[in-house]
Amino acid sequence: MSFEPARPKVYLLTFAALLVLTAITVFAAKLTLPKIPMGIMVLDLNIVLAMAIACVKASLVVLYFMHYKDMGQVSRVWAVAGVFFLLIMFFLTLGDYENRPSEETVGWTESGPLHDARP
Amino acid sequence: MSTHEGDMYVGHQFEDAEQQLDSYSIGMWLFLVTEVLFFGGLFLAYIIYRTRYTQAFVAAHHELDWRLGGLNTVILITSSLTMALAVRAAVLNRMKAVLGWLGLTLLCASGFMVVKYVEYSAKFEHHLFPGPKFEFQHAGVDSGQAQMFFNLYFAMTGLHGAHVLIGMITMMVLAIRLWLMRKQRVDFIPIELTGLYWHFVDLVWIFLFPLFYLVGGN
Repeated sequence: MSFEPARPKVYLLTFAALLVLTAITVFAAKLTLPKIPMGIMVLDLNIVLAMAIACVKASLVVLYFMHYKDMGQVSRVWAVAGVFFLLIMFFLTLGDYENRPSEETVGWTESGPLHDARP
Repeated sequence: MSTHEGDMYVGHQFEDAEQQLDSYSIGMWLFLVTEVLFFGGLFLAYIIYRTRYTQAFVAAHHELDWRLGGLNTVILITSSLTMALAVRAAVLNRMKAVLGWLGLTLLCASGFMVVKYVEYSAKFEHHLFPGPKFEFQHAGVDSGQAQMFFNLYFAMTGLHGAHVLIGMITMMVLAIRLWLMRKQRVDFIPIELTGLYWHFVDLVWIFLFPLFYLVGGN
């Protein structure tokens, strides 16, 4: 991190880009994109697109608003580690859920929760 | 004893101003990593339930007004801009500007909470808060599965709202401190760190907005 503050133009451009991307997200949600079955999960391209745009927005916030570009090396390592840890948690957990045959018989069914003694 | 390097206040435990700034920045980022994982667990729960109860989630999400969610997105992005400008003003030691930008950020944050209040009260009125009074009727949709959508909605936006409140309290304390010490040079580190926290709050909402208000609306 340095003591040199960024020019206001950088912040205003980031702000404008975030607004435009928000508008694109809203517009993209109105489209009907294909859904691709993958195992017991369905890959919905609408979600993939929405999350891709959200990731771009998040990157803009981290790069310019959170001064990633001017940060020290160790802070950068932690910022990247946050994403890395998150991905480990997501992939290991989702991989586990994907590969459990018993999973479909646990939880809610059409008629209500399994093993539930509700009247 | 503490020293001054240029205009910067440097604590006695630090070599120089740059090391001091780096140390504070590392600590804040470390905290933000724990926050990422904190919210990450909830996002993971959302992904798992959404892939299983897709129909119910799509039906239930129509109860949320994307225009209010979008309004809150714009409000939070604006508040991130004003916060970034507050930090910039603090680095440049422009006291009045810092207080002005912080005030605007607080205004945006309050606006966000007001919109949230309107949304939450509508959900309570329509019996969409999970619990014994929960009621959701939609052809071919299990009400228990729809309830899971609202469980996640209230847990995730509620936790996010709590972060907004904590951010607001921090900004108010900062503003009061700045006002009391207005005769001295501004120490911009507390403002920079509050800024990092605030941008993180904005970042979480960037993901919450499409997941709860938009996705699968067809």
